[in-house]
Amino acid sequence: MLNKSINAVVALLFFAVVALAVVSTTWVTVDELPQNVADQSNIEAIGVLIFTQFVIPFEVLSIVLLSALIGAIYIAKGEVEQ
Amino acid sequence: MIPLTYYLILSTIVFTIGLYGIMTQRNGVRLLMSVELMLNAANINLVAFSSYNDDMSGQVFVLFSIALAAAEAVIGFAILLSIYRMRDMIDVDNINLLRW
Repeated sequence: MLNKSINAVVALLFFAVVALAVVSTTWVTVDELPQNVADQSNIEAIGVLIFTQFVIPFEVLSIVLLSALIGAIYIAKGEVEQ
Repeated sequence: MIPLTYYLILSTIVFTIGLYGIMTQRNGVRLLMSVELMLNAANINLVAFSSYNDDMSGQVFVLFSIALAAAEAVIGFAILLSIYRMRDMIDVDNINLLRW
């Protein structure tokens, strides 16, 4: 039971430090949130951005997902060969 | 307009819950759930900064981070599955041998 309370204290200390840092810094923000009435959920803007500026990460991501899929299947296969 | 610090405080709270979860949970599945919680806290931060600085690249990066979190979770569960097959338990405290 002791180390559970130690964990709680560590987590709370972490929260206190980061929250203090967050509150005490002044964030540079745009003064009016960008409201794009035509594209309310900005999916269109994200789609345009993915295929113009972030094409390479998008393709690399598909390779990463494919390899994770193959790796997971191979790891989870296990018993069948023996 | 909601000040940005509210979102950052919320993401810090979610991150702390995930951190506490990682420190205390012994079950492998709960451990991976708290890792997902921490990743989503980072995603909250990404979207908050992206919309408050009027720069869309943060939200695009959130999509990539969600996909990578899924890939990581898949590998984590596959490893837990093979550990469970060999040891009939996924109590993270008792799994301490690199080769068995």
